[in-house]
Amino acid sequence: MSVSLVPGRSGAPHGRQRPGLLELAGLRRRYGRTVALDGLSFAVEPGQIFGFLGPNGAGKTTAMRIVMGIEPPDEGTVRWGGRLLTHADRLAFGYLPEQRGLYPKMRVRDQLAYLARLHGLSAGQAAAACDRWLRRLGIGIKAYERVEALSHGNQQRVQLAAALVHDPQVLVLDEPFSGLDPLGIKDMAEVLRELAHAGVTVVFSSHQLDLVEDICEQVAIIDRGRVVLAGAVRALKQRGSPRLVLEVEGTGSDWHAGLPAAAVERVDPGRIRVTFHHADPQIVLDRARATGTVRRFAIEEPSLSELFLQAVGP
Amino acid sequence: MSAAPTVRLVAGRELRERGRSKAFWITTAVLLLGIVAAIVIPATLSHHGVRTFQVGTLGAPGGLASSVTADAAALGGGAHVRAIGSVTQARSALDAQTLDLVIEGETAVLVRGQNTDQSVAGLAHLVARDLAVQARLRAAGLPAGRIPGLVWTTPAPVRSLIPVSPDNQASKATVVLGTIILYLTLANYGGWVTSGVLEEKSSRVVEVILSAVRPPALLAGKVIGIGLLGLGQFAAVAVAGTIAAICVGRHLPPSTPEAIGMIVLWFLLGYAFYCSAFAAAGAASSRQEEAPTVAAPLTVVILLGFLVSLGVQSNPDGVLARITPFVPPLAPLVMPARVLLGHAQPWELPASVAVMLIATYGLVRLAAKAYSRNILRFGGRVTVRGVLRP
Repeated sequence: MSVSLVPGRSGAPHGRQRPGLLELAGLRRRYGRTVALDGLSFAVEPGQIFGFLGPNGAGKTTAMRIVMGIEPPDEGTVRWGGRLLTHADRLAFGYLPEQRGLYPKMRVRDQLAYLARLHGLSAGQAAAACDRWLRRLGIGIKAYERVEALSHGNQQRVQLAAALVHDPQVLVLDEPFSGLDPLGIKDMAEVLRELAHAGVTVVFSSHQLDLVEDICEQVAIIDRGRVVLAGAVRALKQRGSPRLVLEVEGTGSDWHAGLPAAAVERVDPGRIRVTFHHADPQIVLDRARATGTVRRFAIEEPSLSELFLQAVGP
Repeated sequence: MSAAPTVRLVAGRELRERGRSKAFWITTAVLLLGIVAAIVIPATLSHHGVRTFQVGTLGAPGGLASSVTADAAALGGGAHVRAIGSVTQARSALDAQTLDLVIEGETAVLVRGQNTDQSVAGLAHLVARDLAVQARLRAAGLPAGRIPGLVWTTPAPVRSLIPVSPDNQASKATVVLGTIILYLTLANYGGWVTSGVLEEKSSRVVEVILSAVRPPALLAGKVIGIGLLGLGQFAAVAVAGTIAAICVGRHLPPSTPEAIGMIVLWFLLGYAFYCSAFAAAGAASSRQEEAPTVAAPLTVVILLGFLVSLGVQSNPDGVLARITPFVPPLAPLVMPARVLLGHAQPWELPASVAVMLIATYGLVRLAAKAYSRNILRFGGRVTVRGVLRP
């Protein structure tokens, strides 16, 4: 597809163009006795894809709703471009809530045009934006159907279009990949990358850590309402200790005796996989070659899943 | 974007989407058919012009015809008097409603009973009194020939401070129809507001909308949109009713536009009063199917207003009619009746409107707060405390 995705370039609808740092500072929120956010702070650079991770109930949705102005924090602030985020600023934000929802009986194009206009686009701009996004997301032929008549997958696409139709400068997406099939996930990831490339700040929450690892530059892992790990994905992975994995054939299961092995598995009748966390690769390799045939030798960085589990684990 | 264009956009969507819905066109059609039927059917069934009472006599004294005619004239009608051969014939004629009343002998009047209409009952009382006076005079020894001349005269006229005129009759009919329409529309559009709020809430689209629109603007747009649609429906009903009345030859007093204006005024006041409360009721729930349940307390109050209004129509100057125009939940259904039936003092209308506006201001503030607080609260039970907590 070759439709331009560059946001807001067809006559910017939003009062000001000021891509800036999005900062959450000291957010606190309680519901009765439950503490949802406990001094949550992090910042997202403009034009970045930022993954927002955490176990269920960590406070991700609450934080996103506070950013979108849907609920107030008990304490703390959200700043954008160095200033307190206002209602007018948020018209340049796009939002995909965790609980998806559209007017079931409204026609797709009417619905998107309505949302675009609520975000400050003129009737003409709204119509053009609707057509562009419907085409881009492959649902152009559904434009005049009622939302309730669409398949689940197409409803998800309309929901994404609803977040994008006003060409926002910041996208806040709560679990955007949940409920998508592999093709939908691929499309979604592609759209997010294109948007970030065009300068849009993308913040999204997810449980699908392999995806996050794949498309995010920065992540924040939160647990019980506060950040437990944050930074560039690359840096976090490098900071974690790499492991050494060997698969060896034609040897007894005790060839690594005396070496600090972390895990040993038999992968084939004649092949053994051994994982080391702290070992000199040269020594390990020499020992393995002396006793059998080395089929695989790899130094692996920890996956995001492992970092996540380490960070929020018991 | 400032609030006004947002409110306009939200109201526009309500108008467009509801105007397209089948439910709207069905209610409009039912209302229009209803109003036309309410005007056309009584007109074709009722007697046109001056009513002629059918009176039978069974062995009655001579010279009755002229006095019965005089009595009938006092009631604004005429009389056709004829002799009946037997009691059986008289009874079957009354049953068949070919006779309205029968004078039996010199002292008794026979009517059909139960379903006897008011004017026949009135004539029967006049005639019965005449017969009784005549019997007393006969007992006192007055010659039979002089009695008719003494007794059977035209009754003295009864004058009324509020003139009994065709205009008055017609505005009574307008009040009856107007009150019914007020009741139906207030309850109906209130229900639309509740289900409209719940539609947004149960489909969860409200979270997307509220990321761009503040709750008070969403609430204002919604109730204005539905209110405008209601006003349009109201106008259609008024036009259809007027045309129907002209077509069947109903007398339309010159005050008809004023009467319609009065009903529209109180529709607007009533809708403004109730709409935000209906919205708050919707926001208190999370499920579309609960809409009638959460709106029920409000529709019951509107029904109460309608019932009070019926009482006020039959006694437009009673205690109820003097107090209830100043009870805001009831006033929209009561005050038009009191004003249009000509019993309101000049100061009462502005005073009642002022009380209504003050109460509306207070209720809208309270209800908008409750709406804003609950619109994003999902699940859980609906409690009165939850709705009203500041």
